[in-house]
Amino acid sequence: MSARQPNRSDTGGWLIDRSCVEIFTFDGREIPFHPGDTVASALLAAGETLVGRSFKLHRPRGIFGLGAEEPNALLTLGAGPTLTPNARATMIPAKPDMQVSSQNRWPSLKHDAFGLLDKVKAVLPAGFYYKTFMWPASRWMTYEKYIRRMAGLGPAPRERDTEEYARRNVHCDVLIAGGGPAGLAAAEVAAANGQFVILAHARPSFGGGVHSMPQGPHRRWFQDTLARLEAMPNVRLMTSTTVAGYYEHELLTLCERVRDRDSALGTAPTERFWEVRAGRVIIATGAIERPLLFANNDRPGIMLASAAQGYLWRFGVLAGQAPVLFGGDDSLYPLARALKDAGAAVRAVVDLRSDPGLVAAAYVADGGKVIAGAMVAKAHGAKRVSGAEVWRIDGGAPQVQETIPTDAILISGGFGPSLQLHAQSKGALVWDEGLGSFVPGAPNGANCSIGGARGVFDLPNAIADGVAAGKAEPLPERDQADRSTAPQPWELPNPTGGIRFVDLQNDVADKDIALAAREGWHSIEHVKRYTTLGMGTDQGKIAGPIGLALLAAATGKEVAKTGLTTFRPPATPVTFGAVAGGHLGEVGHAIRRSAADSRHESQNAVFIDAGLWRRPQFYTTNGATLGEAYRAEAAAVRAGLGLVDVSTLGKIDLAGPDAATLMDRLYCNTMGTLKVGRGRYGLMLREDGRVFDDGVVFRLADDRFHLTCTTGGAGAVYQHIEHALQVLWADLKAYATPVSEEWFAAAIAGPKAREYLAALAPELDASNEGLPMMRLAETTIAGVPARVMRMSYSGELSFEINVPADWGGHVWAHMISTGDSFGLTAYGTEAMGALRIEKGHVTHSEADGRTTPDDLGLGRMASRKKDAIGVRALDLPALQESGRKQLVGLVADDPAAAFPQGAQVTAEALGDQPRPSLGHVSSYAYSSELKRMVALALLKDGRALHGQTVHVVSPIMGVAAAAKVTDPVMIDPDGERLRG
Amino acid sequence: MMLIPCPHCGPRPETEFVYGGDANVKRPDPSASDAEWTDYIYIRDNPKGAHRELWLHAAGCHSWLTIERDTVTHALGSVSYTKDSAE
Repeated sequence: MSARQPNRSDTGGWLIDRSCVEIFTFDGREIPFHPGDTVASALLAAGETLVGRSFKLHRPRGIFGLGAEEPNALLTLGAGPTLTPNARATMIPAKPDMQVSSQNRWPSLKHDAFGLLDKVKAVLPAGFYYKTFMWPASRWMTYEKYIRRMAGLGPAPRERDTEEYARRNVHCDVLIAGGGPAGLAAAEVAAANGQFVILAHARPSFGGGVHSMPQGPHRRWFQDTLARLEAMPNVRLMTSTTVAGYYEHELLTLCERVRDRDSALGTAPTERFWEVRAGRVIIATGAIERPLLFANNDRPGIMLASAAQGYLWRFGVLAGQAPVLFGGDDSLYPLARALKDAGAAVRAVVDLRSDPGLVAAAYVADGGKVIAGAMVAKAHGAKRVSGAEVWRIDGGAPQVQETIPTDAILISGGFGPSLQLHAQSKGALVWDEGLGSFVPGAPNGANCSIGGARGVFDLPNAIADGVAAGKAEPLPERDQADRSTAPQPWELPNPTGGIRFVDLQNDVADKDIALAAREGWHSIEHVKRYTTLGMGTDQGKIAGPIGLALLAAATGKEVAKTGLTTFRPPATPVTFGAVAGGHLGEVGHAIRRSAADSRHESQNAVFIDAGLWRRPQFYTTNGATLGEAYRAEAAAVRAGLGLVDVSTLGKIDLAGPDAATLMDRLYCNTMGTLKVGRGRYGLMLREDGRVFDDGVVFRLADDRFHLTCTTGGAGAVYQHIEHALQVLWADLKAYATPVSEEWFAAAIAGPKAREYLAALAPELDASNEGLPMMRLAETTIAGVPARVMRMSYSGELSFEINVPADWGGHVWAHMISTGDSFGLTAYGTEAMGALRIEKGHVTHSEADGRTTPDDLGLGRMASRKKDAIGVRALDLPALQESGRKQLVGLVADDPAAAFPQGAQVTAEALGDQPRPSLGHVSSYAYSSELKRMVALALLKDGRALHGQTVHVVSPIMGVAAAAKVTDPVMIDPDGERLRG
Repeated sequence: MMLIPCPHCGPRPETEFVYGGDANVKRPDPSASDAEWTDYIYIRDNPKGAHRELWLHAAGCHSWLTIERDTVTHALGSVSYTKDSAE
């Protein structure tokens, strides 16, 4: 014991190296520690009792638990780019020079301005925010700012995380979660049987509960077992590794905090996220002690008894110099003796049982003080507990007995299994009346829970569980524990009427649950959301069971029937960094690039994501903005000649004797009659009659078609075709091959397109007679075999050129250099969009999954002479009704008017009154030809509105513009240009 | 995440597959009534327990598979090529 570590005892300390003292800082103060300490044990040793402020009421809080269940001691680690909020002090190994800060306090932990909230807690009941701040709705924005500042946990990091993370995948025969005695025993037996075993343990060193015990033969067993495991080649021992998630078919996720274990990182990442597919899973995650309810049970200095026992034996730390122990079973007495031996002045053991039995009697005989048939009803003190107010409850109404001066109240409400992984795997949960806890029932999948995780809390039986599980044999019969001589935590009276917290992390008190029940919330899932019970970083590991029992009592139901809230991964918090691994920034997802991608880059293209691809959105010269660039590009196409990379369009090769039959069933229009060498625009429907995708089809041979589809739809169209071939019509002989990446495709468009094509492909007859609309020809361009298809998306005379993808960059460069004398302008997706909007061509903005061919003005394409996917549904009454939204064009009245993003269309201009929406703008652009904004819109019975004036409005953006409703084809309605 | 035994590729993670819905629905003849077509397009059972369903091995061999799956436990029964089970 030293002045700087007043609570460090000479007793215990299995996990620390007393020969070495190092320093970290907590809110700027130096905290000494020994290697092996957690942040929590070092803070306790240094007498730092107050470590945080509570979420809602800003009450002072201290360290409550020993491990992952910790609700209070959430701290911020580091600063700037390495800042990690909400780290549990109980799980973080202390490291030299670590910078640790308390949270949710201002200006300081000891003098917190919002602590005043605690004084008005009577008016902050469950659902307070919902009830109080909802009206008027317009004020929510104002309230929210302040609520967010007052309530909350740690700050989110503001800088980009500079630490490195990695992901790994691995398979194993047996995954064991938890390296305590049961898990170690299971690992050794399974590995001895030749199985590949992964043993994952959340702490930096194995052993679990072994370290919370005094010296004894079990320590030798532990050391020998671990040594044998370390020598086995078929065992992967993983410390500082939390099993976070249990998914279907034994896929588990593990988070390995590499730096917790080993500061000398080298090239290793800070954390590794593992996906493990296991043959079977052994859950040995131990048990969690339950608290007891009494007034002010959240004061710093109040701690779970098992945590105090852990701090003593693991770290040689006393939870208090003069503790009171409070519980209802014999486990209190060895702890009281151990604390005494370690130098603590144990004030009393308050035992809920009126007749505590022999163990208690022996303790009294040795000079200990026991108050039987009694409870601690209230804690005194504020920033640290100063007294335990004891009431007798062993007959009639509770009677006040005495207030014992104390600096720590160590509480035990019995143990419950840690159910997270079993419940995530969707295993059954069974209520155990004797334990007063749910325990794992029938498993779902290849797993079993052993030791504390199934309610076996003593060491020999936990090891026996491990041996049986390691051999994959049935587990021994479990001794039925019996806590029935003491009241359950939720059965305790509240004679002083003070506030009793169920969920420390979220400031949920027992009366909040009672209130929720009175207000009609009877499902535990609803109560959770209404009161925030069991939310937060601890996910109610401590609060859940007690809150549940209180709700059952308040609603007059059995606990077993009230049920638990759904357990979802992660069992304990996992950093976003670990989940993302290395998939960040440029390598966040794969990028598909056109074969000419590097050429676009050298032409100063600005790229945009299109489906899985990146495409030039526009080419910037002399710093032109998007708006300036696309207008100029589009104008150049209409006036002369443009070139656009269309490689991203989906392409599918469909071949086989039944290819033509299949084509007729895939497209709503007729395709089987298409002649070889000719093309046709086609619409695919979903079976519900909505437009699924569109594109031009060319027939390459009697038994072979070349399909094009939209960039975004390419994958889904291929799946759709395979569905038709394998599920709907398995008798059809045809084969589909996606060939999108095999071809580089570029379109030339504009009045000079033919002239240029003739120069580009001198062997080709590019005349109107030689290559009419919707014809395909093969030729050579820049020495490369090429397909030339005459078709038009821009509305201008246009040809699409396909060459094998490997030659794409070469051909694009050739076209750019030879196009100069023709005034060739490269254009991007934005100009392409403007050109197609002027022509009323649809994309997925119009074919948005709700529109039928008729809605888009393409109703005549759907042939009723054959069976095709989606055509039958077009005759269902709902699709025949009037009032459907139909595609129209909109042309702005005022050349200076802007069309806002996400605009609605109304019949009258916006005034003070709300206006009904006629529909919405699906696409809009500036028309370089009409010299004003144009749009495509889907308006209710829109075709009847042609010629009328409507208003394109966005109340949010405060923009409105008058526009004329027109046919979707806004320029060159007869298509003279493209046929020219 | 389920592990689906693809008859062509072997056991593969669920993320390689695309769900295709109830395998028992049969596409009616175009001459069938509106009611039959509405049933086919929109109406699906939502069973708790055994379910025969379609899965496409989209990131693998592109086979459409018919799989028996328990919707509660995710236990898988038989897995076969849908093409083979077509009438």
